[in-house]
Amino acid sequence: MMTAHSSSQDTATAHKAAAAPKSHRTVSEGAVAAIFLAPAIVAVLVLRIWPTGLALWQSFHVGAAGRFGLANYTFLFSDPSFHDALAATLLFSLIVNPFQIACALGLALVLNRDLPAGPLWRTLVLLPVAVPQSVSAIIMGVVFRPDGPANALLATIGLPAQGFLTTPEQALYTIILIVSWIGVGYWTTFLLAGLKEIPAALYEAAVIDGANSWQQFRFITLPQLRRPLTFVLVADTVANFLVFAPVQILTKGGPQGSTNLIMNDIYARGFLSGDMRGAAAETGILVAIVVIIVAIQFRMMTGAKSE
Amino acid sequence: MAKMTRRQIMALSTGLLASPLIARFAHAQEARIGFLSSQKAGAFDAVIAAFEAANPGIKMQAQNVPFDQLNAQIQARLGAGDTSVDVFTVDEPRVPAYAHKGFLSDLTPMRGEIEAAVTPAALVGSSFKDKLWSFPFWTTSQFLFFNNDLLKKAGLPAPDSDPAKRLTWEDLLTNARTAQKAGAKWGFAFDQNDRYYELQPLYESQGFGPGLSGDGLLTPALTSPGWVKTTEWYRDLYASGLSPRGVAYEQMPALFSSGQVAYMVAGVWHARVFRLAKELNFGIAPMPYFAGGKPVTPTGSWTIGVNPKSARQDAAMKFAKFLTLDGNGALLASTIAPQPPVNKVAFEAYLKRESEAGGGNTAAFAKIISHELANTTVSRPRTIGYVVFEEIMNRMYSDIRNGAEAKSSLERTQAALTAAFSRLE
Repeated sequence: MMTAHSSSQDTATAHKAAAAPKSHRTVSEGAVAAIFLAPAIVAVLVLRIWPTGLALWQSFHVGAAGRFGLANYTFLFSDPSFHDALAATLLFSLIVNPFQIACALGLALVLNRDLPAGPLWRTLVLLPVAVPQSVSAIIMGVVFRPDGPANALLATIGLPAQGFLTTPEQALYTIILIVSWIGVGYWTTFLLAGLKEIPAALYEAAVIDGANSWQQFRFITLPQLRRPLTFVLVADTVANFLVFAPVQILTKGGPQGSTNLIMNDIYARGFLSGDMRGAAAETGILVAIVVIIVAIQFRMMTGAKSE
Repeated sequence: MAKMTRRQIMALSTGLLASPLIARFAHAQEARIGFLSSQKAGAFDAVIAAFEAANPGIKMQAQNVPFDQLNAQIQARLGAGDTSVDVFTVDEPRVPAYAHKGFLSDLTPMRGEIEAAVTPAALVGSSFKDKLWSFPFWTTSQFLFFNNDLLKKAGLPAPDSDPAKRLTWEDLLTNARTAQKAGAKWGFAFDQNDRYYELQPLYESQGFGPGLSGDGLLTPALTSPGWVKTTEWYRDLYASGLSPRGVAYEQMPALFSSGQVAYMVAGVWHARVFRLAKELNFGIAPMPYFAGGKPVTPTGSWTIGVNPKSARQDAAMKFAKFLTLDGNGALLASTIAPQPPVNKVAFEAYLKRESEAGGGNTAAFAKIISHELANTTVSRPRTIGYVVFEEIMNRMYSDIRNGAEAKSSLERTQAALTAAFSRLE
């Protein structure tokens, strides 16, 4: 989530710089643009491109002498812990992305109506985004403790207590609920902004043509929302591949490896086991997976446009 | 913003870019020594104050992180060449791995000085491949702490403090169940409930080995019948409800302090917290052993390492020596975090202080520790694979404590360790 957040800020900075007034002649326009852009570019280079390059470089070196080789990658593909992490991450992604986008879209549609106290609801939905992920994780950890409020709520409606984060069967789904509680409000705002952009005339015309609400949603809302939806789909998918803080704080990958998402596995491999090159290779694989999935998503969305 | 000339803009941006460098330079002038440990904030305040008073011009900066994050911090920071950590605590069995990775300054030239100040057993914990890599600092032992009031309520006698008359695990668990029936919330608990450190003696007491074998102790040996049987015994403590599930080890001593546990095997340093707890009437006895086996107790503790990349080696060494080789410094360092110092002078003073501090509750303090350290200790395996071994083992115990099957967990852990050991370079 932080990735999406900061990169959108970067673009905002870039827009501002490009739109700088043209009247000042003392310094050339290009120089001003360069100065304003410099912090963002330096930050991207130093904080993202350089470490990623360094990790990839490390991942292709083996042995004490640091020879060039693929052994870090071949080891990973034979390592049961990596297999389990990959499986957990794919299962997590398959569930969490559609779930979050459906929730975000549903919330955006509801909030787009003229509700009494509308701004209040919008604020409440966005509120979890303003809380640091680590704080949210700790709060939700308390909620889902075996003796916590979630089980108390279940008890009042006559349901048996659940293990939540303490059982391998439920832990991953509990993490999905928690990261969704943290993230959905953020994605909702993009979709809500998209909904506000759709010209009312389109709906009026549709009503005159006798379209029911489902048809309006299917043939006006969805196609008109394609751009924000593409962004949310891509950014949400990437963000969910990079989920780390809630896992590290709440389960550390357990119980029995059930929530050992790939980011946590990379952390444990690099910093707990001290296998930096293995962790670097795993980072390389993660980047490759994310790039491939994002490319497919872009292709699908542009394909849908030309139909 | 008013009009700015090109020169003004250049000056401004140069200034902005240079400011961190200037700050760093100013920082370096002060000889500030970073001391990273996993003790609670404030644990070393007294010894730091005494050191700074004796060494004007050196400022200590204590950096405290939770135990679970210490290893990650050391690997990340020292591995990346960070010099803001000059001195750090190193658990004895981690010395080989950190020495192997180049995280520790070679102290072999100071061997004579160190040998003269500390107990002989402590030197082993700081050595690897005939070289000395860290300053011996603390040692550890365990007590069987018991709650007198809960035992009285159940009609149970207080365990004997004589090491020759220590309880067997079989008798202890029978008594613990009786105490639980008579009202104790929990009959028995280990304080470090999922730590290899405290559980290793269970296997060693019966001759089942440390779980590692072979050349350089890099072959996991976790699936023998003895290991499976003993791990099932551990699992059953929690499955049967005798010990509490889902409590983090940091919170375990508080359960005993608040009178919820009848018997607890815990580090000797907890005696301080327990005697400060109001309305807790407790006693100490030696750690139990399995009938037919031999008494075995855990040992080993923190040593003090110096970062070889430290820009202020001299000042860093000076502090490390004050903590370990100076009798007064070593005793001051064992006050708020009262682990037994291995400095010979400080050790005697420590035993006297701790035995007397708790009145009748801790009268046997010196007697038990002295006996255990001389007769029953077993060190954790000394291998370059220990760091990853401990991380993976502790995760396994945590899973088993919370319900995972013993045998399949041991098999999975065996495979994970084999894979991880193949990566040691």
